[in-house]
Amino acid sequence: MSVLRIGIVAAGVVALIALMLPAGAGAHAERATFFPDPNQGDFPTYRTDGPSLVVCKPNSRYRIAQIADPDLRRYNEELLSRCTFRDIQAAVNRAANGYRILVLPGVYYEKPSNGPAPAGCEDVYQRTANGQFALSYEEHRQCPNAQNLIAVLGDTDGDRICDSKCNIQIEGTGDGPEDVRINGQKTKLNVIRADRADGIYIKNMTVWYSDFNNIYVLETNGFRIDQVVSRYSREYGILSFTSDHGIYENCEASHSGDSGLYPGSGPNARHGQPDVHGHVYGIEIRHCVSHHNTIGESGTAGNGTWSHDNVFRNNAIGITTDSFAGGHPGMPQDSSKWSHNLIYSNNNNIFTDDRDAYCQNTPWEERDNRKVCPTFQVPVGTGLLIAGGNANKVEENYVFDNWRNGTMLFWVPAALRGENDSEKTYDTSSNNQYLRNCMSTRPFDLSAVDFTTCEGTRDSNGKDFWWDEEEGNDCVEEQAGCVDNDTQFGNCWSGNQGFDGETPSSDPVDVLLPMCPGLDVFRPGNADKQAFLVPCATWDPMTNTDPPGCDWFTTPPEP
Amino acid sequence: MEAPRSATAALVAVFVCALAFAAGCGDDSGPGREQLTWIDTPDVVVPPGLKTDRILRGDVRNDSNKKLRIEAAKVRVYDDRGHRIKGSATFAAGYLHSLYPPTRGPSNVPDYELERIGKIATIDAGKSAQITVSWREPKGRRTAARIDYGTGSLRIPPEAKTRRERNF
Repeated sequence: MSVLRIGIVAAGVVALIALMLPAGAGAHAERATFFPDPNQGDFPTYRTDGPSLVVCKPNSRYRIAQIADPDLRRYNEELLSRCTFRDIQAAVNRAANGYRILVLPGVYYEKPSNGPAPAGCEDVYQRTANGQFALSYEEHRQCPNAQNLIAVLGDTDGDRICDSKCNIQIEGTGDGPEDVRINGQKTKLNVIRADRADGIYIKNMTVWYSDFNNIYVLETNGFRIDQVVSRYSREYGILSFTSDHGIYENCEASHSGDSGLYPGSGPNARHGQPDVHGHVYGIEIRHCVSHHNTIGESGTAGNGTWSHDNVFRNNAIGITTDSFAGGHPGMPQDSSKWSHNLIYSNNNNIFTDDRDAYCQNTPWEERDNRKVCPTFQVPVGTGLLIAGGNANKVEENYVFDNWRNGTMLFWVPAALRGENDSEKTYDTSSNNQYLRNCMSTRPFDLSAVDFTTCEGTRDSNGKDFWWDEEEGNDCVEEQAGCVDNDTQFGNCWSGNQGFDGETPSSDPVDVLLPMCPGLDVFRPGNADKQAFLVPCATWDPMTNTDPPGCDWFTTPPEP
Repeated sequence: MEAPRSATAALVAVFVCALAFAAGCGDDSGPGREQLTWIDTPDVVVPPGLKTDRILRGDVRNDSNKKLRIEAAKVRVYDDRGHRIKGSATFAAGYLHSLYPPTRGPSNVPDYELERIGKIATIDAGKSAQITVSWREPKGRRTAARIDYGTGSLRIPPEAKTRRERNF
């Protein structure tokens, strides 16, 4: 059996187990989900032809008149004459495979989606109102707007493969994402839900005000989110889960209570090996800016994801990936890569006493857009955290001005993700590589950075590298017990530079950071360092905002 | 036993327990009274940036003859004069967070999820569990002395603190 097949079968097994557990997507309740077959499907490409439907608003004509580019204005005027839909959902309902839905400039509230429960959906609406968010796929098919302002649901026969409304392209036609704004009005969990909607392409629009996810892609093989601005979600800006062949690109994500970008439960079968198309990474995030969120990018079980040429700034923490939560298929996290990113100034403390009080006393519906209330706790002032991840690469990034730590790496015991196989207890935090990163150095020009050099002005991280000093066992994820199939790699640091060629600062000191390929020898780590993390688990935004023993919520002094 | 006798017996039991508490209930040095005992001297560490805070980690054994269900939220820390001080507890073996956002979870989280995230520990008779308790030391000469877990308490061994705090 090939590695890929083992992976697919294992994913199925995990999902079957998950049927008996409360599943999770981005740390909220979701039905049990399955990974698509990585050898099927591919990354969608943008199309300018094919059947299309046009959506507009009464004031679209006025907005089109404001478009500066005469060719683009004329194109929109032509489309306006073809407009037959006032709501995007209505066009989605009419669309067949391969349709493009062209959305003219305007603000879209999707009012029909906010109507009362249709006949037969009363129970689903009531359960949603009661906080029972995990509906079955069939219930979403029956009641697509119970939780979603716009739902694209592509599987009609229950085999988890798209057969209807596949390769749908939803595209704003203005001269920038701000011209088409979908306003969730804080009424639905998701503004756009693409569920088993293989090949979906969402382009050139702004999405606001979801109660959970502004854009939510689930069990989808092939998706692309391009030129999307996502703001003010209570939880997640753009989230994908158990999906494959997906691209987030040219996006801006800000002011979300959890993460701007969340490639969670990333493709799990490859483990760093290419699929039949030659793709090592199933999810790609590129040319995005994520800022002023609790977390810029995160992904529990964020496997097989490559984030490159992005900016993660002014969040409480820039990036995390982890193996914390149960119910996420694809545990433990492995085989992702971050390269050529700017990760800086992630010191935005939204855990202050003032913010705690504001969040406790202000209902979500009444909150100031820009006062983010954190969903989960993070170590404020950190660039990139790998918590219980394996075989990741952090390569040629500029990481600076993160006042606690540039990067953090620590072990997460397997039991914490619900893994009961005691031989796997130490199966995380192994084989992660930190290569040729430029630390504590602000590039001279943030818009034109040469990632192959390390040049700029000093702008220090608290410590460039923090490690709990644990080297996990190499356990094959799909096999019981701990079967070690690697004798070569360990966590390692090579070629990294501090300001002006200095040795990067670190805890432990530099000489105790193994050079690559690392030392493939298990060690349990520094118990004191690990102990310092534990009290932070008791944080609660209502009852325990400042747990003794946890310093994560105090802004570190500027180094 | 008929109902009135049962009630009388319960009242007596409460009274006896109250007497025991007044006599130092909560001090695990008393023979045969406590349900949980330290297996070994716990470690107490001081976080580098929080000099007044303490983190205690230790393994406790259920020395009673019944299964115990301990809720971390009910764990209290008291100083050597019996005053409660700010503290938190978890049975998780490391840092993690819940599956659900703390303010948006279901009303009834099943026990296996509560155990996973360290909010409860269910300890069979004779079995053990790891506990982490953190607190903020009171000002002055007082110091944390006792961890109350609802149905009993654990003394914080002075040697645990002195042994490790010197390291910082």
